[in-house]
Parts: sequence; C-alpha cells; structure tokens
Amino acid sequence: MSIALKDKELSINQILKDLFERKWKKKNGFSHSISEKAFKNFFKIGFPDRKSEDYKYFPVHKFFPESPVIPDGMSRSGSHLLISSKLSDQQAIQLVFIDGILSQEHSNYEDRKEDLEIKFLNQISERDIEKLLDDHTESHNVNKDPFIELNSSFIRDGIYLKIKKKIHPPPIYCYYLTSSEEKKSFRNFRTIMEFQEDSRATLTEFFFSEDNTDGFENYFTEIFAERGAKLDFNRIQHKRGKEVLVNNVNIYQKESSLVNTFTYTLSARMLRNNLNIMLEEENCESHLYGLYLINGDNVIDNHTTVDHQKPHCFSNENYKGIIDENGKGIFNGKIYVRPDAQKTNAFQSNKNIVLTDTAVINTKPQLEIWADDVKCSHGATTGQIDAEQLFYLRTRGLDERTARALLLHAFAFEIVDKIELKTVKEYLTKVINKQLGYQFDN
Amino acid sequence: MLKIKNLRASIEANEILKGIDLEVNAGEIHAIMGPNGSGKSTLASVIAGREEFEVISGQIDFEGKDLLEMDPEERAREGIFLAFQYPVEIPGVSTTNFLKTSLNQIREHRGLEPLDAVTFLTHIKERMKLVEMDQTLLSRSLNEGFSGGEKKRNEIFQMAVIEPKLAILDETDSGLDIDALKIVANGVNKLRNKENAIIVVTHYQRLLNYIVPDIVHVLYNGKIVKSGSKELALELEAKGYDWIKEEYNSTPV
Repeated sequence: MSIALKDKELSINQILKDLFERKWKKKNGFSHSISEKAFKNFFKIGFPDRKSEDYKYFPVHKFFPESPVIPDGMSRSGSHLLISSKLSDQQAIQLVFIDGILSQEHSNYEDRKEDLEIKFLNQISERDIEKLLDDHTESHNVNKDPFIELNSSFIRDGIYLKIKKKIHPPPIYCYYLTSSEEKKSFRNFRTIMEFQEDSRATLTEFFFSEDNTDGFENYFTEIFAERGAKLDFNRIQHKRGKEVLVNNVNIYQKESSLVNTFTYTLSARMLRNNLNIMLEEENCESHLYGLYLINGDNVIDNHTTVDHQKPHCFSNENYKGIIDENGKGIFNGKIYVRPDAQKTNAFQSNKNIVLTDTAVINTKPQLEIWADDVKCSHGATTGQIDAEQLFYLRTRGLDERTARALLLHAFAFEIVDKIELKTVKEYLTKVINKQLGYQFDN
Repeated sequence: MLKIKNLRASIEANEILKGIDLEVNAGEIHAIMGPNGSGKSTLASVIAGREEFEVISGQIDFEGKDLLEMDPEERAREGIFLAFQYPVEIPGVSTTNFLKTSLNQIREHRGLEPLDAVTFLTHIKERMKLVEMDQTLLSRSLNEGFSGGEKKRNEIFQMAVIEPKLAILDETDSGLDIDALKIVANGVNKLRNKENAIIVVTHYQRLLNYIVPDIVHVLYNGKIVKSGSKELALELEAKGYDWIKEEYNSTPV
C-alpha cells in the first residue's frame, strides 16, 4: 500500500470523525447512545476504498467531498419541474421531501391514528428517535454496511410510518427531490416503515433531481413486514444531476409475509443500491425485480442479498440492465441459505445487454448454502442485441433503429410489466420508451 | 421482376453460390430444389439481404433496381418477403404490435397512409382466416413458445398481411404435418395472383403437390444445374439426387 493512498483513506475517516464529533454533536447536542455507537461501528469498518471487496467496482471514495457539510435542515422550495414530476393520484398519501426536508405544501397525508401513524424524525425528540431505532433497527441482527452506520450516526431527517393491522391504505408515495447544487453537501435521510400483521400496501419511492444538482446522498430505508403483510415496494431512481446516491434498503419479513420489490434506475451519475432481504420466519415470499439503464460515464451498482433464515421460504430475483456508451454496471446477488432454512426455494437471474464496445458490466452471483434440502438456481447473461432477431425484424421492413428499439423495449418491459400500480407504470413506460427511442406503442 | 446474373456469394471465405442465373416473372411460381448443402437457403438469404454472406460478384435486379445496394428493410419495403426456415422467437414483442409497425413502415415507403387501429385489426383478422390461425396467437409474443407448425403458419400469415411482390418460402414445409401443410399451401395459393411471384425452396416434392410450380430448378454445388417443368420434381422424388450429381460431375467444365 502506498503512503499516499493510506493518507487518503485515513483522511476520509478522519474528516468524518471531525464532522461527527466537533460539528454534528456539538450543534445538535446529540448525546444518545445509538448515534454514538453507530459512529464507532462506522469508524471500525471505515469508509469503503478500492480494497473493500463490496465496493470494488464502485469507487465511492473518489466522490466523497473533501470538506463535507451537513445541510442546516431548513426547508427549501423545490423547482417547479421537480414538483411537476409528481404523479397525480388524488387518493394517495403523498410525502414530498426536498433535500430531506418535508415540503408541507406539496404533501398530502393525514395522521389517522386508528389506521396509520406518521412521524417526521426532525420533529420528534432525540429520545423518541432513539426508541424508534431500538424497537426497529436494533432489534434485528444484520451485517451493517458503513453507509448504514453513517446514516444512523447523522440521523435527523427522516420519516417513520406505521400501517396498522389489517389496514389497506391508499398508495403511498415518497418523493425524495434533490435541489441542492452544493458539492460539499452530505445529506442523510432515514425511512422506517412498519407494515403490521395482515396489512396490505403499495409504497413507491421516487428519487428525482435536475441537471445541476450535486452533493453526496446517503438514504436508508428500512421496511418491516409483519406476519401476513403484503407489500409492493417500488423505487424509481431518475436523477439528472451530478450527486452521488448510496441507497441502502433493509427489508425484514415475518411469517407468511409477501414483499415484491421493484427497482428501476432510469438515470443517475453514481448510484449504489444495497438491497438486503431478511426472511426471518417461515413461509415468506419475496420477489426482487430490477431494471437499470446506464449511459454516459454513469456507474450504477446493484448489490442484493436474500438471507433465508428459516424453512419454507421462496425468493425470486430478476434483474436486467441495458448499458450504453461508456456506462458501467455492477450486479452482485448474494443468496444465503442458513442451516435452519430447509425447503428453501431461491432463484436468481441477471441479464444484460451492452450496446457499445466501451460499456461494461460486472455481474456476480454469490450463493452460500448451508442447508441440504433446498432448490436454488442462478444465471447471468451478457450480450449484444441478438443479430438474428434484428435481421428478422428488418426483413419485415423495420429500419435498424426501430428494430433495435423494439428489441430493447421487449427486453426491458419484462420487468416493467410486473409493476401493478397504474400511475407508476405509465410514468415508467413514458420515460423508458423515450430513452430507448421506442415510439410504436399501440 | 427478379433477374439474378452470375451471382457468387461466400461465408467466411467459403464460396457457397458459384454463379447463379435466375429469372422470375410476375405471376410465376418457381421451385428451387436440391440436396442438403447445395446453397438453397443461402440463395434465399442473399436475396433477403442477410449480411453474413459476402457477395463476390454478380447482380440481382428487382424491378429495375439494384437489390444488392439495399439494406434488408429497403428490400422488404420494395416488396421482397422471406418466410424463414427457422422463424426467430422474440419474447416481449407482441405479434400485433410488430405487424402493425411492419405494415405501416412498408406502406409509408409506398406512399400510403398508415392504417388506423380498426382497419388494421380488420385486415389482420381477415388474413388470419387464410391460414386458419388461432387469434390467441396474436396477443402472444412473436413466435415465443409456438410449435414448429405454428411458427411456419405465422410466416405465411405475415406474408398475407404484408402482401409482398416476391415471396421466398425457405423450406416452409419442413416440420409441418400433412394437415398443416395443406392449410399453409392453401393460404399461399389464395395469395397468388398475376402481379406477384413466389419462390419455393424445398427438399421434397410433397409441398409442390399443393403449390404447383411453373418451373422447377435444381441447385447443386452452388449452381442451377437443371431447370424444367413440374414433372422434374416428380422425377427427383422418384430417383433422388444422385443422377443429378453424376450428370453434373461428368460434365466437362
């Protein structure tokens, strides 16, 4: 290891330590132990560098600001364009956050104690935050990513939402809009969502930004699906700015719960998704669908883990990517089947189309199976547009551009068609078709 | 309509077509027969514009235009149609959507208005009857999970929708049972008229009982070595190809 490199690594950790101890703690007067403990844990692991196996292809250390600043927590007005990207759905619960701060005027919700409960973390006491984390995050034993620890260290902005037993709420939309153009800005946001026994919900998270936005974003969403809960969880990541986003999602599933997770990355400069599913009890079902479109010099990294801890659970993962220009894609899919988890069914597939000689995809399935009576399979393919299919379409009079667009559309929409919520599906269809140059929908 | 002169073509430096001369006029049906590896499918592919084949020399003239200068889609728009020997499965592309795009691009080239949804649907439903195709196939992905017979039938259905000037049927009979064969042949016969022409590429005489050719050509070793009336096909069926090979090989070059 060169000395210079060591200095650089030390320096990010040192910078963060300085930020945490001298500025963050002092300013916020935070003394609660969880924040303190989280930062200690972070400091032990350290900021990922190029030697970190999990961040090997995602050089996040090169993109962290040299003198990071935590924004002041004042509410901002988002631009008209961002606000107008809100989907129109009168019935829905709409929560709009601009750089992590709730925009009251653009949100639409009601705290109805009998069926759902909403708390904004920056409006409740430290003690209440601490209790939230104790009851949720801390009661689950998971391997923690350094960004999760950082998120807990700098916890202030965020939301807690609870859907009560047997409740079927209207669709829930969370918009995370980025408007800051400050390169130094280091923004942490925490989402904790609890879906109680036999509730049934659809949650959609949007990550939107405009051309000149910047900064480093560390978003962490935790989802607790209790016994018999059914959840469709959509994430739409459509970022046009220069900001880096690290988005951790932990989903904890209890007995007989069903969670369908859809992750659509339409554009982003540097984006890392860590999606971890913990199947903690029997008879859980989990579907993970993903689609990423990468162009320019953009880097999109999807790391997923499905942790089968108990018997009779089913998981099915299907991720697809289209990589154009100098884009770089990373897919890593871990499946753990613990010794207890007999009769597990776990499937994984990752398919990629690379459109240029300079587009790159690194794909890696990682299965660790300790139980013996299980069914697991995985497959990964990477290729170009199928020449035979292209020729076939051209012999029917379709010009090459149209034929390519049609084939890419077909490839991508296997994933888009899975989504149930109409407003979201329409939005995706419009944006993806435009990006693929497809204009022949009936 | 189609004039091929001294066409030579190769793939990976391997010469497959070694000087083909062929003339097809409007209203005619030509059969091209020959043993395996004689170059039948290559000829069909080169006419349709498959880029893996390199044309070494020769000309293909289609209604006064140089076909070899055109991309596959331009050839299709000019009126060439290839019914594939192995139709490709394209998951995610619905047959209806694809056909509408295809037909409207061809119509645009011919200076015609695109068909609106209703006219288009009426048109394809009527055409489906020609090949007795099940309507449920329309909503499915193109050829995905179709049986061999359904795929071949789908090719003729597309031909019926597009109404090309020159259709090349590349071993459309292979993989068809006798009932399906009759239906497909029947469809082709109904599409036949004085304005269009059909080239039937086949191993066997069987199909030619139903689609009766005006002229039969025998392709061997990259050349048309014999042409004759439909009786030639019967003779080949009875005697096989060996006598053709012997005749060809004993001919002084």
